[in-house]
Amino acid sequence: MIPRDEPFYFKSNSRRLFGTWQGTDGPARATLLFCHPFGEEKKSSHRAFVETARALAAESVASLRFDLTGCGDSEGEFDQASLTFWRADIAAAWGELSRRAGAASRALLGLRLGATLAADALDQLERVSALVLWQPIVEGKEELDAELRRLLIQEMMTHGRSSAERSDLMAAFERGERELELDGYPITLSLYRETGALRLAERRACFPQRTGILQFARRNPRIEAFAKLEPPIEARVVEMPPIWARTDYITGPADGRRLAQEGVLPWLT
Amino acid sequence: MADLKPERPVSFDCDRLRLAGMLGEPTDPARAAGAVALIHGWAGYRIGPHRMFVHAARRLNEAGFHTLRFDLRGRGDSEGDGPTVGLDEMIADAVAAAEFLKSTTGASRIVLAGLCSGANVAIGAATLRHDVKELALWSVLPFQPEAGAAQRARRARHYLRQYLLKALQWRSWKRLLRGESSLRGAARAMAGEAVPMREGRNLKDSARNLMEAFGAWRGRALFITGALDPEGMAGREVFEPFCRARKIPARFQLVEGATHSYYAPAHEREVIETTLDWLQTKEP
Repeated sequence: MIPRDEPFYFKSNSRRLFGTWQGTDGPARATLLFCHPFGEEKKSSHRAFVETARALAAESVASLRFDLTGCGDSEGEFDQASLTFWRADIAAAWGELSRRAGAASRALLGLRLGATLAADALDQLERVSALVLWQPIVEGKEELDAELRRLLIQEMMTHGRSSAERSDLMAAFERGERELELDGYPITLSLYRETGALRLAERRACFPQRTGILQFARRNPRIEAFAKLEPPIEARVVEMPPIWARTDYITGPADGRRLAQEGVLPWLT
Repeated sequence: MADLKPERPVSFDCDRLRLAGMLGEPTDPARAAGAVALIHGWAGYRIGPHRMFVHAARRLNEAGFHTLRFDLRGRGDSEGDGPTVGLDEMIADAVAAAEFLKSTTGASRIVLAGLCSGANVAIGAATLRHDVKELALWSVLPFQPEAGAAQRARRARHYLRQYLLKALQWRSWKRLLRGESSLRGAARAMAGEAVPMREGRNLKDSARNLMEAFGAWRGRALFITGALDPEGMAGREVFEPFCRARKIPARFQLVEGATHSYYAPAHEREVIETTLDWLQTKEP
């Protein structure tokens, strides 16, 4: 029988982070650290992580889910966060995973920006046996541009007009004349710049030999091109809706089993 | 002011399922004012949209309230099979949460606060517990039998107006041509999302007549609605005359410029502060 998960707090520097350890019945053959995506994508995908962790536990894979600073149940506010904090958080969570892993191997999984951040933190982590990237953000700048387009479309849908053109909005944000919020999460200029500078290809040299990519619903040209860089990375597609984007989609145990079987286990074993 | 005490993870059972939550304590126990359970919407979990429930709990703790943010079954970290869970099971969870909150904190004043479907769950749970005399209802929806044609028409009118405005702008057509927007998405927005079903039953509906039960409930309620939320406004259109007719003491508050989930930080703050102000007064 799969043991119930164990919520707890741990420290990243002076910050209290919330984590949940999903143990196994008997010794684990592998362990996995989940890194969540950004803003509302975290809320939408939370249950998918929970169901995947439970399905993995049935396959003797223990795991740790945790919330970055200013996210979920962890301390702090989003507008106090930075990529520097979040890299340190991933390293602290990796320490927690390692402490509990015993002799089992340790793997890292991230979704969307969580995947890119996980890859970005690799040089701070010891003995990463596998890296699993779910729909990673390949270029931070492109992603932010897409988010801004979505924000302006949302504004138009709600108010019948956008408050500004994208270029004007960004210019005012850069000058400190207006704030930027994405789905209720305030974005600081430094976080915007740090995220915009993220390029997954630059971390490629740190990737472990066992690295895999999972895409949702269909192949994404940008991710496919990244996967084909030398040495190529196996990129699979799971026929599921984008779990981070659907606020009305509820993930159940069958989805968790599928994500574990198609999106994690192929790269752990 | 004393430092904010961190919330602690807790769990409690309902129908042999373990539900997960976070229990918050008053910063100053000498000012203990009661206990508030926060109930999330259909597909959310205990943090709420843009962590609104985390912020609300911290603010309520500062003001002397115990808080419980919890995951309904099949959501967040709770046990259960999410896609099969309906409104009545969610109401049972909220009843169990109120009992857990009361027995754990010893508070005699139990308030239920909910967002979107969570507000409907709060109403359903209050009608089953005599000790719940206060309801804070954020963006409450009409119950399914009352929703009907009026809500669909309001929603369709709202989105049709927005799309007509967009159609007058050249950049909308450019976006459409570039594939950044779609006609299918527009049609879906106007029609509304499909109703979740299980074995022929609408999961968002109850086996009970919840409006009738609410009409017999004795307590006071705060309704907060975003002025730009067509679904929330449909809820207000149903509940405002109903409360008047049934003599339920109720305050109806509109948040100007706000959408369904109060995405702007200023709107979120207004919802939280309005709720706190209402909790600290005896007026409807």
